[in-house]
Amino acid sequence: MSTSTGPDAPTTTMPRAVDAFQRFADGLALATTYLAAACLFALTLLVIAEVALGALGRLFNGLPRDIPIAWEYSAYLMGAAFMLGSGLTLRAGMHVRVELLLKGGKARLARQYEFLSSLIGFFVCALLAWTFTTFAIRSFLSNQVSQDSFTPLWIPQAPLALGAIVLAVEMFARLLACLFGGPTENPAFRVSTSTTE
Amino acid sequence: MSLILGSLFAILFGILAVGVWIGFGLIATALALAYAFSDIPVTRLIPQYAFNILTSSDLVALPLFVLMGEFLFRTQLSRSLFNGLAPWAGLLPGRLLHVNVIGCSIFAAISGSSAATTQVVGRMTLNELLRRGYSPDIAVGSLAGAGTLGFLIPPSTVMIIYGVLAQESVLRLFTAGFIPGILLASCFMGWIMIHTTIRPDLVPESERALRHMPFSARVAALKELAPALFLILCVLGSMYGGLATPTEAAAVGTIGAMAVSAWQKSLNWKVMHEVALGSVQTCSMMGLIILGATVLGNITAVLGIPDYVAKVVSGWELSPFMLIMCLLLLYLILGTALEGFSMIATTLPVVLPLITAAGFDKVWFGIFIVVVVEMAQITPPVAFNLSVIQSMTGHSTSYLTWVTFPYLVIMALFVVLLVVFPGIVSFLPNLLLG
Repeated sequence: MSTSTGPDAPTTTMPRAVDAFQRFADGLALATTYLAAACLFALTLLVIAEVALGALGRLFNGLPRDIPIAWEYSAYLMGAAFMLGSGLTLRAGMHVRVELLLKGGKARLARQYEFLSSLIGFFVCALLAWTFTTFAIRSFLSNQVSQDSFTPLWIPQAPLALGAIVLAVEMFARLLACLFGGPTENPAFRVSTSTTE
Repeated sequence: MSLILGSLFAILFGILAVGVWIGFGLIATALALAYAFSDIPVTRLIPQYAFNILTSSDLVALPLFVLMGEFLFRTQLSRSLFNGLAPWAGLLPGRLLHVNVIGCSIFAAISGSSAATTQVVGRMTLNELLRRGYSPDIAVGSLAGAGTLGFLIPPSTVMIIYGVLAQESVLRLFTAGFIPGILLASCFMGWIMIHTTIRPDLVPESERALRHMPFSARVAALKELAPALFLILCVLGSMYGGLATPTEAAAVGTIGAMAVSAWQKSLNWKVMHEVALGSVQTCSMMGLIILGATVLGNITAVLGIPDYVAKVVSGWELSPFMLIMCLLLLYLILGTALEGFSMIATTLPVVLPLITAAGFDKVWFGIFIVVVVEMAQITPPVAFNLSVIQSMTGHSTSYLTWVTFPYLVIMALFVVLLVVFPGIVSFLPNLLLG
């Protein structure tokens, strides 16, 4: 899983600082991806526990029939997993884009399109990171809580912000890679999944 | 207003064409429109929209079905499906080609994805069919066509996303998918029988021997289907037995898929690691598209674009039939360059108000869009199911498109059938869910 394997291995033309930043971004993205996986795992357990309790509650009277927070918290975990995994998904080249011009046109043009999309992508990511963070901070400062369980809302909002920040960092690394002619993606991070070939 | 609408299409098209990721492209378009034509506080609204959709409990079934799919993808289910179905398919004209269609239908009732369906079923059938001497034209074509059933026969990730974006019950959509799914599968099988009768050379002569298998051997083969039926019971059984919601059924299915994979001795830490990372990446990929769709959908609604489009189109006084045919054409064109989720995400904010204004039922339109998305999976240059097959056989995209074309035509005709007889869609949900 390191950046030094595969056809997209860092070339010597990349300044060392850029290369180091890319490694930093990848480390960050990998760490949050494991967090995302933990969220998915916890989500599954929570829903399973809910099903099991429901079934047991039908058999034995007096047992609690459900976990009151199950729906709300499983949804929070899902949101966290979506955003926390996003950085590595970008680096692995798994986010969906239209590749007709990128792959079909001339190499020179393709590099310009790549730069332009990374620039727009970075702009959007930076905006998401900024707005998600201020959103969570505002919830924290005004002590906002959820309607169902009175959970402080900054808690589920913070991982979304963290995920967006990591995504923005990865996107910035991608922008640098475009500028210095380095590899933008690292297929080593790609897991063979049922949705890709 | 027409200026806003024009800008919407121009910006969206331009941004997506240069290769901006779909989710970011939708958000960038929303930002541009909001800044240019209004003074809505987008930077305050976007995180709220994002938080609401990304932590919407209706969507929780999605990551669970993705997780389940990742487990299924790593089981030996393809072999057991083939061994269980082959003795029966051998009775029909077209012989083992029907394993493609029936296998895909059964796997579709377990899995929510059509690329996974194509891959898992094709992994076994393609090798076996080509080894036995079937013409690749029909072996590959029928797999590509039938693989698309993954989205139509419930469970279905596309239906979950449509349900959340269109605010329609996912269970109702799932239920509505059954009859169309089985009908479409029958159409595919019918075409295989017709095609192989006209061109007997597509099926090797030696396969006639398959008709003379002892009945007891056929029955004995059925036990191979046990893992698949067990998983169907986990997902559909728990849902329609009244025990579980679609989300809970997905969790039960995930545990079931894990159990099957452990039972087949294909579960270890390496697999678990791949399943975890693979699910996270697939979820993030879908999550970003959903996020973008929600942001753009909300912003266009604030700007009044959907109402305007609905008014303009109703001014054309198209009959509902013509409207659907126009949309079919639009989606066929979009489907060449976009994959399914992105197509729904980019169009739904504008198309849905149009459809409800014309008097169509949202469940019906959901099924329509699922069939259309399936067609997008097999129309190049961007065709997920074809690239799945390409990675298995190495055929060129143009060859795959050519041999899949009859199935595309069948699906287009099937859409017309759905328009003429909407009861195909509404019958089962009305019967079961009232």
